[in-house]
Amino acid sequence: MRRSLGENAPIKLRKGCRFYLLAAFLFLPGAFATPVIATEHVWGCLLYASNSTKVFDLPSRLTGYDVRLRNGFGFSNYRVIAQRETAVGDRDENLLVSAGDIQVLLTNLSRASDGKYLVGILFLEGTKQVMETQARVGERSPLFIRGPDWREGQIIIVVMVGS
Amino acid sequence: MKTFEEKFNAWLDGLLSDEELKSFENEHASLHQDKAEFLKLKGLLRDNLGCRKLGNPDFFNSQIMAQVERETYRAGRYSRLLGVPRIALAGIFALCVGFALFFFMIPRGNLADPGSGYVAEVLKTKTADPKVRVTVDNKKDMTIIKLEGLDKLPPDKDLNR
Repeated sequence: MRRSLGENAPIKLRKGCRFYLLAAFLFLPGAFATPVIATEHVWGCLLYASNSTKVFDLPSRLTGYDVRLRNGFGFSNYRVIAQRETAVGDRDENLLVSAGDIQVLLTNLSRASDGKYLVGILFLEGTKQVMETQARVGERSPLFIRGPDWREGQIIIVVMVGS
Repeated sequence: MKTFEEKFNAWLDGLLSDEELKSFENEHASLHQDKAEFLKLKGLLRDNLGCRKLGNPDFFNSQIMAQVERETYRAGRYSRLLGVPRIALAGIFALCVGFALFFFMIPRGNLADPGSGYVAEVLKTKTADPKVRVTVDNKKDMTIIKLEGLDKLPPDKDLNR
């Protein structure tokens, strides 16, 4: 049985609605999937590395790195001096972590198309700029900086993107 | 080999061959009475229950046609529901959902090794103090920027503030 143009109109309308519903269902979640850079969290930590016999636990974010730390820095014991998690805002410089005169600042953070982060880090002792670096890091991939000697050990700076 | 019931029915209907008829009647001579009763009943039924023509043929025809249309519509509706394009679309949709779930729900990398998937690559370092030398130790699962030539911090310096 052939239908007239008028009778076909509601069917076409229904099909059109279904298409838009399907498209909305598939693509709408994408609008919520992309994180905004302002919500990124960067964790900074100052460790005191030594060969002390007193045992300290590593921060939970560095779980599984104990052997690598021992091999990489040559110290057996790592104690947290300071740690801080920063939600990156619009400011140019964000304080990542500080202890005494030592300050570690985040100078920039941007996300590359491959999902990795480009981070700028500035290490200060008082007002003196010691070192500035640009690095490409993955989420939850800590970057280690071997800092100055202190007492019987050394100061280690750790910077990690992602909470 | 025919059963008794088959032979009996064929005998009543007169469908047995001559040999079969003789053999059957010899074996079951007492059945002649039953055949006579059957033929009598058949005659009565034929005489009293003849074909009766029903009234309102148009009404019955229209009812039948309506039933046929309903069946056709139902069949068409099911074929539309399970049509090839719909099944293909449903397959594509299921694949999309499957891929989305795979990428978002299943963590990738070696879960037993926290260093797998480690990426830290130093692009540039700069130091204002010429005494300080910067080297980068790039390992597979650990990147260390080493600062050599830094002044040692005084032991009494309080870093725990």
